[in-house]
Amino acid sequence: MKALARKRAIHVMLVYTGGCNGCDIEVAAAVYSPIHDLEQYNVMLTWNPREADILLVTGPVTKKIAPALKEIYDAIPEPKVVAAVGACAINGNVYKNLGGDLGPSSEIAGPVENIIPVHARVPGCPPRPEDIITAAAAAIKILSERSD
Amino acid sequence: MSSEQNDYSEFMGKGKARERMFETEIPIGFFHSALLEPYRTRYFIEDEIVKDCEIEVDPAYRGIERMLQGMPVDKANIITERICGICSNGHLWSSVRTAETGLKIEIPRAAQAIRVLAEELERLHSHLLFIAHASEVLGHETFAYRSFLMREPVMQILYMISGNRVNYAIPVLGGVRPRTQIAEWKGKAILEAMDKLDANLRKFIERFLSDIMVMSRLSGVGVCDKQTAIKYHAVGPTARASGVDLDYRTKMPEYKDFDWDMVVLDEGDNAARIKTRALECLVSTRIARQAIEKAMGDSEVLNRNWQIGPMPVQHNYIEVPRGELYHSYGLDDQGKIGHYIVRTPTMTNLATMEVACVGDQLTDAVVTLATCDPCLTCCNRFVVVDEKGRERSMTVRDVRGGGS
Amino acid sequence: MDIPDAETLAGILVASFGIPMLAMSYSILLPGIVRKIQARVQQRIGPGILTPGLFAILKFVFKHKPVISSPMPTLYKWSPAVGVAAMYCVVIFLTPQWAGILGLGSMVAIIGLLKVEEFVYVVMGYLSSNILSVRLPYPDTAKGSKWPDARRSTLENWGSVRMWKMIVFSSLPLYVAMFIPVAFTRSISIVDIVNSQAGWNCLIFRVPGAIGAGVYFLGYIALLNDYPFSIGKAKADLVEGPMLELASSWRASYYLMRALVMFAASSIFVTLFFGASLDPLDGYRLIVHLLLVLILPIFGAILSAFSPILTFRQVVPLSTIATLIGFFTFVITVGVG
Repeated sequence: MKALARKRAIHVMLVYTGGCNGCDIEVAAAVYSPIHDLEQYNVMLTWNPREADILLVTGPVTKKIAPALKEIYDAIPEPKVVAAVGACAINGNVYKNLGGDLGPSSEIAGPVENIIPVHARVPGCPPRPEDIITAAAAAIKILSERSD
Repeated sequence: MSSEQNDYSEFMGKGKARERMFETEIPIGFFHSALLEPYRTRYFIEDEIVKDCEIEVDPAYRGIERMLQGMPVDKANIITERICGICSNGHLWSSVRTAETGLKIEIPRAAQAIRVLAEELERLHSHLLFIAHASEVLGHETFAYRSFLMREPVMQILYMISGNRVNYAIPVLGGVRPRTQIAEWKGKAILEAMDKLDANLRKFIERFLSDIMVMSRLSGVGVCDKQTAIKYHAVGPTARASGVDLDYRTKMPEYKDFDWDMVVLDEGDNAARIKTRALECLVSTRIARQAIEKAMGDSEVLNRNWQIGPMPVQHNYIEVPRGELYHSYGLDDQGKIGHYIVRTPTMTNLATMEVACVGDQLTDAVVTLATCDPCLTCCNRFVVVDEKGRERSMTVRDVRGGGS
Repeated sequence: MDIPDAETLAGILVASFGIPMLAMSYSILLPGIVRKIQARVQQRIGPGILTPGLFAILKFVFKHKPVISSPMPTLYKWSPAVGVAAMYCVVIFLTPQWAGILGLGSMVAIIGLLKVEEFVYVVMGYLSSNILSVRLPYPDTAKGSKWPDARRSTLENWGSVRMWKMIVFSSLPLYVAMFIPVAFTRSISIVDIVNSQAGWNCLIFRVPGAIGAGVYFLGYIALLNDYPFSIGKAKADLVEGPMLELASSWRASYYLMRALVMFAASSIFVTLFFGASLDPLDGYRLIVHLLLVLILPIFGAILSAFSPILTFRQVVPLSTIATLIGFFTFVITVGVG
């Protein structure tokens, strides 16, 4: 019963941590575009951490946002799953790995896994809406297999 | 980011009296349903009416200009186009154009046409995204869904041309990427898609602008008259909706051979800002069709006969979906970038909105901020903290005068 | 007070426990139907019909309980349960079995309980402080910012203030419309109103009844805080309003409360304007009632799909006009009928 309810009603929260916004637009396209329509898989978008099960994080985490990200993560009740969407969230992408004479950016607090634990990763710059839907499906599977 | 001067100084008291001007403050934080990017707004309200507003845009600061110091231009382009995901072509084209103007590199005609096509397609998808976002902030989910539905063909066309839906990387130094050359069959397919898109767009825009409830929310709200728009250096559709006829495309040589109209409205309220962008979509499809016809074929799209070398600081302006974009940098004798400056239109547009949203109800003020189409990931380019500890934004005058 | 006989007692027991169970199981289908209709208007496949109601409630029940940030956590957490209890009572007072007991089968009781439900939102809003607004770690009041010592409200507080205003303005159409059947029948007892419409002689087929139904519909949308009257929990600026901090089982109770309000308000509509009562001992009437209960949610879904959030600039005039129309219809019905 627990697994069935967890599989059939999922709330996703999107958190943007200072990236270029391309991944956010693709997530918005995955949710709000009738062609992709994430809601048909019983995944509903919410903006309230108290209501969320899956946290989608986009963007390389800037130092200013890092404490806020941690607080939002703590505010989500268990069981929760974090999905890092896009190359910035996975390894910092161009901001942390490319640089000229002065080196890469010093304003990045690192990829998401430096701050909160990550369970699913969606590569791409930005990932296509189909990839984001696949990631949501994978996260649902992780959620429904948790026994607590 | 505070506005340079308050317009309502006549009822600002001194000392304690100032605090009684409003009842409470509502902070709308990084993560919010009305925001697509992290920024912090503080609204100071008195019984639902916004008396003052402060916007802070620094959360998304990534230090891009500093990263680009000492990089070769073509490698720096990878970072430049990711300054913003929505206007990525604008930044990339601007960066490439700066070096080309400074080093006097010739661009083939077909490549110019493809660059214009990319920019107009970007304008289309950006404006449709804006309409979807504005509908979402208004609370009208159905229009948001319909707008996103209309936007999908544009993303598919971009995918077909360049290989990616976002961050398409079409311009390179000397022309465009050879993969983005438009063959006859591709051009014909894109023209058919554009016709269908145009017809749907007209129907949607008519339906949107004739909806009573939506227009009653938008008309007469967030009014920004021509003087305010000029005073706060608003650019792009935000300024054109207030009667300022400023469109940098009239000054760009790439647009000389195209037949298009500038859309200028007078009311300066939220409805006018949305209407300007909706009408600009229709102009963009016209330009895009002409650009496809000019670009179709097998002609050369990349000029490789040039040398990189030293270049003094070169200024460059183009018209991106949100207004005037300014890039400037110089190249040292090894061809590496020095002193990169990016100034995006959202900085001044947002400051204008900070003043325009005063006097409306809180829900309307949030919509007003959304109607200037803020793209804050571009926006954190520079904020100067002066000696008195106050932040102020840079104006075009400061930039041209060389302040940094 | 004379002791009722066994048959009446059995009827009261069935009405007091069977009907609310039926109401709860039926009402958790309603959010799903509403969402599906909205999705079809938006030209997409929406979530499954059971998802926004049943499975969402179950899922929240199975979540772990976090620490709620609130000055009075217990009151905050159990406020939706108070709303659920109020709706429970509304549903049982609508049954004919409760007609004679303590005078509770009357309009006054129903209206009072609806007011309790509206008040729950106000109480909740003053008692919560979600991470999303004031508590977010950000140096807002740093040197150089405007008004560093301003008094700050959380999003939920402001939602409460707006809910107060909604109670003042937008609950009036609902109550005025509920008095039109009273004017028709000259009695505040629900059983009398039902009996006066016996044999498909429904009030809604007459002109004052139809007008009253329209006004009731507006009041219903305002009661549910659905678009276009969702300024109290406007998604555009307050994210969710007073309900932000609710989590796990307490959020499940809030979802249940909302579904029950949907059912109860529709049930009142069907009882008053169609004369089909919620009678557990009359199968035919019960099935007709349950089918007619779907009317208001369906129309509500279509209206909410096509409207934005209206601010008080538009809500106040609209509610005033609706109230005035309802009031004049009431006066005319009292005079003529």
